[in-house]
Amino acid sequence: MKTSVVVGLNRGARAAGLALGLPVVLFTGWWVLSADSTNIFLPPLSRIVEAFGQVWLSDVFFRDVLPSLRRLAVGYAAALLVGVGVGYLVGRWSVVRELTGPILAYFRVLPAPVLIPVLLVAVGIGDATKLIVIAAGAVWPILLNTADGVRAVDDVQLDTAAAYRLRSWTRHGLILRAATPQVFAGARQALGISLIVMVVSEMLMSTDGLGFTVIRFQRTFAIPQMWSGVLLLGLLGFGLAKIFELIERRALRWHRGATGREESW
Amino acid sequence: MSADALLRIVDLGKSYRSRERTVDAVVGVDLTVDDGEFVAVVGPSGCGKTTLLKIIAGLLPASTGDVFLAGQRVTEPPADLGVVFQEYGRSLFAWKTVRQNVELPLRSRGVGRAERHELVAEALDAVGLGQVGNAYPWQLSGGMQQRVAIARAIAYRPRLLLMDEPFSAVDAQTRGDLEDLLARLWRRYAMTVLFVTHDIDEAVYLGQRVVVLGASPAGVIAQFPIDLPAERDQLGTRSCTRFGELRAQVYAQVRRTPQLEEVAP
Repeated sequence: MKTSVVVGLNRGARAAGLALGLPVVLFTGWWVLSADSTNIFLPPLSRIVEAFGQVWLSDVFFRDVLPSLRRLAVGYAAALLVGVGVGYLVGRWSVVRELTGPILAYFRVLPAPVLIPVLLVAVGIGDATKLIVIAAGAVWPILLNTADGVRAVDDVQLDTAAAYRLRSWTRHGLILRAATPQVFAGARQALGISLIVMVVSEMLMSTDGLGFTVIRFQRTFAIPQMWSGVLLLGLLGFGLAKIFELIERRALRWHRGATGREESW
Repeated sequence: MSADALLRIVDLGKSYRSRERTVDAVVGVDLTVDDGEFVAVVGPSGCGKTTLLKIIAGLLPASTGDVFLAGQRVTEPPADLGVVFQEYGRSLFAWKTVRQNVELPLRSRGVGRAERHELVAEALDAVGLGQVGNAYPWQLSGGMQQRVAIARAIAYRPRLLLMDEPFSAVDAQTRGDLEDLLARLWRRYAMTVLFVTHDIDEAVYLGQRVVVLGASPAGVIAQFPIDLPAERDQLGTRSCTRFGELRAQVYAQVRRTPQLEEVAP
């Protein structure tokens, strides 16, 4: 028992070392190589980091970062709600599937940012437009994966549920739960898309937010500040992906177990 | 026999229609099962045993004929019906604990909390799984998982328990244990059991009566009352002369060329 704990710790340290090693090397390399840079478009990393502290650890955080995060959260949540809901209907009933098939195929390949000019005219420049565009971009992988997952639910489980006369709400819940591995796969893709669409929509039509701020720095030749925005967006995406992974690990533990991929610790 | 018949199957047929042809899976099955009886149904693989069982469970509509359970025509899964499928891994809900799996049908039936807990605890004890209620199905061996499925049926207190080759996916040792467990439970709970298997030894060992289905399309081609002592055990029963005789008789019928004719039991 004791040795296994030690081995586990060693393994953890090794994994952490491997995961952090390359980023540390790259960061250090960038720092050293850019230290004497006089190219104004590629400022020394030290200046970017300095700008990072000055720009983002101030009221800008509340003025520009929080609104972005709020848009991302609301747009993504709407995509989840609609995607899972409609995906369930599409996956469960062949009539709905056949009816919506061509339309879904069309909208799915339509790049979400193309909606921006349309919505600008129809809805205006307010937050609603950005939320709709984010949701419209993110909804597809969730919807299609949910439909696939729901459709693929095991017949034996459905027979079991029917034979034991489970209530219909219980049955809907079981089917959705059985489809969660696919739902999560779609939701993970959608998270990345949400972030992209959020930034693009803010760059094109906003007076605040991360995308807007990066563009503003670029236009005012505040190059280190612009770079710091890029850095922040990267960190944000990374952090969100990590949070997502944590939730997914918890929610799908049964799936890894049932398919023989549950880790020994 | 028909005076206290629990299950009555009359001229049951099932055909699957595709564009090119119609395939008969089950043809002209007549079968009566008494209250409290243990009937084993054998037949070659692919003879429509599972189809028959699904129709009895109300999971599949018949093409011709009727099924009556306690006098009621079966058109949907009837109350008081328990099922145990061969694929325990797919029949149990992997994201629910053992206890939650057993409890689920009782919840839908509206059994109160206290009574539910009592029934679940008793059923788990009865199958020898009193200690693993909080485990997940995938953490258990195949034989234990099938015990969970049996406990789920027991807790439900079915009048008729349908079992579709429940032990054909476990190893021989476990299989013997499960057979004896089932025999004990059948006596203890005074259930009626319809047990489908392709294993002739198992059918003779467990059944009070063995029904032989012919090769596809399946119809009843022979029935044998099993006049072995009520108390059976793996070593004694399986090595006694009468067991051998009965086994040979059933075997001869199962191997017979597939043709439909009445054979007096």
